[in-house]
Amino acid sequence: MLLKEVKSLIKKEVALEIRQKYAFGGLLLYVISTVFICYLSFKRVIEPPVYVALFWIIMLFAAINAIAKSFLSESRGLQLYFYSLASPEAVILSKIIYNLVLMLLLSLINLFFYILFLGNIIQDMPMFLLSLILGSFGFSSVMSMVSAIASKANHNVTLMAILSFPILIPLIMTVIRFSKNAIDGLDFSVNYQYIVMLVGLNVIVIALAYILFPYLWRNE
Amino acid sequence: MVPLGSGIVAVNPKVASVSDTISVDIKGYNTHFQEAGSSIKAWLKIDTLKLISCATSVSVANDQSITAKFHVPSIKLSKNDYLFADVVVNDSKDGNVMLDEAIRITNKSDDTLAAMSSSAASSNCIDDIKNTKATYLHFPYRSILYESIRNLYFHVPMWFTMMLIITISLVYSIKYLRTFNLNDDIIAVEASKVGIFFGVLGLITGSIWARFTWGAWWVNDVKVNGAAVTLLIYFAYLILRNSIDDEQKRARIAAVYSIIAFTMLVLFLIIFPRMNDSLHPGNGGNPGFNKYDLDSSMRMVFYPAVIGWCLLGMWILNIRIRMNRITKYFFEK
Repeated sequence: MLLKEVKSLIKKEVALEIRQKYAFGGLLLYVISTVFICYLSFKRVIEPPVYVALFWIIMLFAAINAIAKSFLSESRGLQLYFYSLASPEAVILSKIIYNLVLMLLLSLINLFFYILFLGNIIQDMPMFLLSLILGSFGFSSVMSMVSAIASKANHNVTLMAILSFPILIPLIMTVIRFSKNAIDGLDFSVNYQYIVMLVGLNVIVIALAYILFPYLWRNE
Repeated sequence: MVPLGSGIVAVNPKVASVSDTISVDIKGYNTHFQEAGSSIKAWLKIDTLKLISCATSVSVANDQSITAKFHVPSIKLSKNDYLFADVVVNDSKDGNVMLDEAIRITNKSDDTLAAMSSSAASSNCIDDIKNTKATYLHFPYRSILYESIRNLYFHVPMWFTMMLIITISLVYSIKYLRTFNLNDDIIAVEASKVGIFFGVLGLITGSIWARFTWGAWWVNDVKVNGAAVTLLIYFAYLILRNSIDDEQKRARIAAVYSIIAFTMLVLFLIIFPRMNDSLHPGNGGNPGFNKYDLDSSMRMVFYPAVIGWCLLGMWILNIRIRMNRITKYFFEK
């Protein structure tokens, strides 16, 4: 039942996204132009710490722009309509999964242009891709939940940043260390603890979202 | 005011060669050398060899300084090698006072000397020592910490109180989501405000302590940064509350965020410091504070201080809750 609801809700998200191509186009343009600004300001292959920090900062702001609209763009009437159709758990899970796919797509595009302009210094590509997956997962779960909270409070994007940045700090610090190790080509045993931490963080946030979202959703 | 215990601040010279006879100036802190008079004994201690070498003569200059003559024992030491000797002074008033690794013992000559057969030969001066502890109530003397050790009664209880009161906030947030009683929301928000207040006090007392022990107002330490981020999350909680007008809606959404905030607090203040090295005592191979408090004289004050600060926090919380209820009562009237 839940699975079926999640599936049809994701279908709806994808259909909306395809219908409103400008939203994704805007994100794409944001990522490309930011990477290009980075290229113009450095004009050479940069040090791994700067390389990885810039990459994730671009991802962070792309995530805010991409995920903020997931609840903010829906009107109250529309939300009421979904409420009568689906369970709140299905709504939040579908949002998290859809945003995960969106973030993964964005991070791959970001990576492509990053390598194109700033050069490829990544020594362990599979490990870096794993850090992309785990990082995108974290972004999507935290931001979907915070977007739901912010959407109830006067539809404010500034509030979204205030609420989500402190919560994202442990995630970003861990994912930056992890992907820097991937760039330096360090052994898997060094990265093991970061993978465990990232998976743990994701599990905690998704569990919280699953339990707490119904309270945000009801008696609107 | 209860004074700090006695200790040795510095010795001069700091380097000596084996088999030398040296005259060492010893500077004490809060010591009572003049008062103790002829009962003063001094010796060099080399822990690795279980070796003790007594001073051949001790002359008192004033309460804070004495000069002792030592014969550095003939120990087996190759040319570029060295050993550290602790300097220990005992007198009837201060008990044992000691400076760790005070004198570096080197070997000037090429030949390695034979090790001393037994340490008992020169340790006769410590045979008749009666009291090894100071005879007055005092704080432990610790290098680096010195007088700032008193801050233990302020800095640590602040975080205990903060944890207690923030936990109350969590409990009432959960309670609100179960009952939707606005009374629980009042307790939750006031508790988080008082918790933030104690968190800020904890940061300030910690910052002052860090300046005097680690050398900077702010250090890049996992606990310090975690505490700062935790406070940021709770500030965000207050801003979130202010941005919603409807009472019931505000209470519900704030309760949800409060639960997320508490989860992050547990991550930042409890789990992360245990995964990374920290400068704080008890983390990253540092000795815990209980190692500093050998005679439990600090515990005597510390535990009551923790209880006292917690009760003070609860009292502030109580007043604030009542104030909030009265304001609401008149507002509704």
